[in-house]
Amino acid sequence: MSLRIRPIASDYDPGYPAMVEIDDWQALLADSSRAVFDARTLAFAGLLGASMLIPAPSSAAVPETLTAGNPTAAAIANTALAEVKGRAMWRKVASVGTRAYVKGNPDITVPRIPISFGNSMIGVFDMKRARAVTVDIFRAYGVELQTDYPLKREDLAFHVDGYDPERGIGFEIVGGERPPMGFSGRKPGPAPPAHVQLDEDEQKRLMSAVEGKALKLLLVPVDGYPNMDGDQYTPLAAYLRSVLDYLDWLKANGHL
Amino acid sequence: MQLTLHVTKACNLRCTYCYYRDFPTGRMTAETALAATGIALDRTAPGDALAVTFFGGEPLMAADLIRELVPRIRHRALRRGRPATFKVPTNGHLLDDDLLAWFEANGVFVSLSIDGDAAGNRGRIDTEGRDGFAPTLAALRRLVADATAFATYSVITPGNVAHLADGIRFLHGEGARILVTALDHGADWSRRDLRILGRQYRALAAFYREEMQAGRPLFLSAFDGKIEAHTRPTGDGVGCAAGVTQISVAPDGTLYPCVQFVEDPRTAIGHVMHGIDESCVSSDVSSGVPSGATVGAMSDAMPHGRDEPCDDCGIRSRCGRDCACVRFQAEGDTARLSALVCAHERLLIPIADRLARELYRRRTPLFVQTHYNPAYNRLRALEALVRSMAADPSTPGAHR
Repeated sequence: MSLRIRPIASDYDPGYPAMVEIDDWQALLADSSRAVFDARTLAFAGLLGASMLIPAPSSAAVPETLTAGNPTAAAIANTALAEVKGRAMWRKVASVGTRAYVKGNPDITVPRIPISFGNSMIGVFDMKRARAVTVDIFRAYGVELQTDYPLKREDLAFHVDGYDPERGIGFEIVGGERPPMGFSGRKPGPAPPAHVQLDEDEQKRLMSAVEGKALKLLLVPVDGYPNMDGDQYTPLAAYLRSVLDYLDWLKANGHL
Repeated sequence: MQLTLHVTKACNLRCTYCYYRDFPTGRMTAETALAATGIALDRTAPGDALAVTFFGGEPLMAADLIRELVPRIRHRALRRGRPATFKVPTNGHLLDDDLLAWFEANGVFVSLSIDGDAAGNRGRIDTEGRDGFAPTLAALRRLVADATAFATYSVITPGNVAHLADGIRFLHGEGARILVTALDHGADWSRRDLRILGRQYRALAAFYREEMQAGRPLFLSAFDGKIEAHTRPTGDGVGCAAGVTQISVAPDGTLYPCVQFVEDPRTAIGHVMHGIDESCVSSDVSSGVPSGATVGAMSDAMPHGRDEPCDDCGIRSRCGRDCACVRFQAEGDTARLSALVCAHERLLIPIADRLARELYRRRTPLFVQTHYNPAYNRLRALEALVRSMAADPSTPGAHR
């Protein structure tokens, strides 16, 4: 049989909304909830929290530009973002949210990219770019980081992504340097040396050290910044928001 | 992370459309399964679930192995901070009351392979050439009576397509509520067959509309999947997890990217003894051999921005063209787009959209909840809990 690949017109309109504006959404769901679920269920849901009944969006829009207490640092972050602005196809449906990653540090910002079928994750964000921009941002706050710094403690020895030994301040992107990218993404790079990639126990010890205030490090988990279907903007924007928030927090607490 | 353990290739049926060519009686060892679990857990992020599927052949021919593996895998996963879920697709011939009770007690979800009514199941015969429908129907009735939740899985072939709508109505009438359909992409579909399929989908849409308007919940994968891909968009196509967050393991421990590949040793990507061979995801596609290397090279051939014929297609974000198994089944080559997939998507999506458009325009409550309320499933679970509490007089407050 001679079937052919034949695209449908690019302006094809399904005729029902992909997403509903928040006001319409609440009315839509409130009315239909009462029709679909019995009163007892809705009463229990109400007891458990309104989010059970009509979950309010817990995320914020992906920022167009970043602001910070240090305008120079914000400008550095926005310049980096501008370079990937054209690669942001997910931005319309993506959002950013906050996540408590390490006790004692401020919450980090993470991308929230909806996905329900298969898996379009093609690795994580550009860590090399992220590290370089982070060093520049720290510098804008007056912190001169040494990259790939060999940090040695009694319970832990590894190369931290960026560290100022004078101030004891730095950052580390925690997790696989070589996440699986498989066949729907780029090829994995060469395996990193063991002193660069922390194993699970070392990660726990590092987090404990930061929680115990023995180290002042911004820690972010690399797998929190997936590069979904080519959207390089959203994860980088979320990551840089975390960096700026951390530095503003250090400053507000008298560490800078 | 999805781990598919092909616990045996043996099968007690010989379905006419099966892509397996032989059915050796060998089976996986527990050690092989646990080694594969370790590899999968290494690739499962903390907090994420390890989703294990016991696949075949007919997996219940190794039911004792499944009974051994479920607690051991669950324990290993939890020890590493990952919950584990379990699913078993089966033709149901060996699903007796005792085994079903064990699945219920141990959280194993059953997906029953049944192609609708008797007419739709004519391609499902046993090793002696006898009709395989009656034991499967008995299993369906057992599931309806005793399972908390289960799915039916129906393959649509040119041979049974004319019975699709009646078959799904039949399964629903028997009590099935999660109804999954899948096209046999390896079959030779004529234009006439596709026209019949279009008529059947339209009849099925009428049935779905009736149920939604009556407030009777059901999940029909053909429509719900395509509607959800619009209401909860996921980007450019439904993507493919094969070899990334999906690994299939043959009984001998050889690793493959997904289920369709297990029959072809050229597509192997490693072995449980030494893990995934990274070289299998780095060769080029030019050989045309559907090997692990070719699977790896799909990154260069698909999907994002490289499918020129699809670049401007209005339904590309909801299309299943990237599924490696479907490409392999339809074209024998993961690097080639399938014209059958394209024809099917062009047929199905507009029917699903007409249906959704009408249900949305009428603000049909169940449809609105199903497709626009992210808490819908949680509320359903809560409702079941509330009802069970009300039904159980020993529950505090139940009498109120």
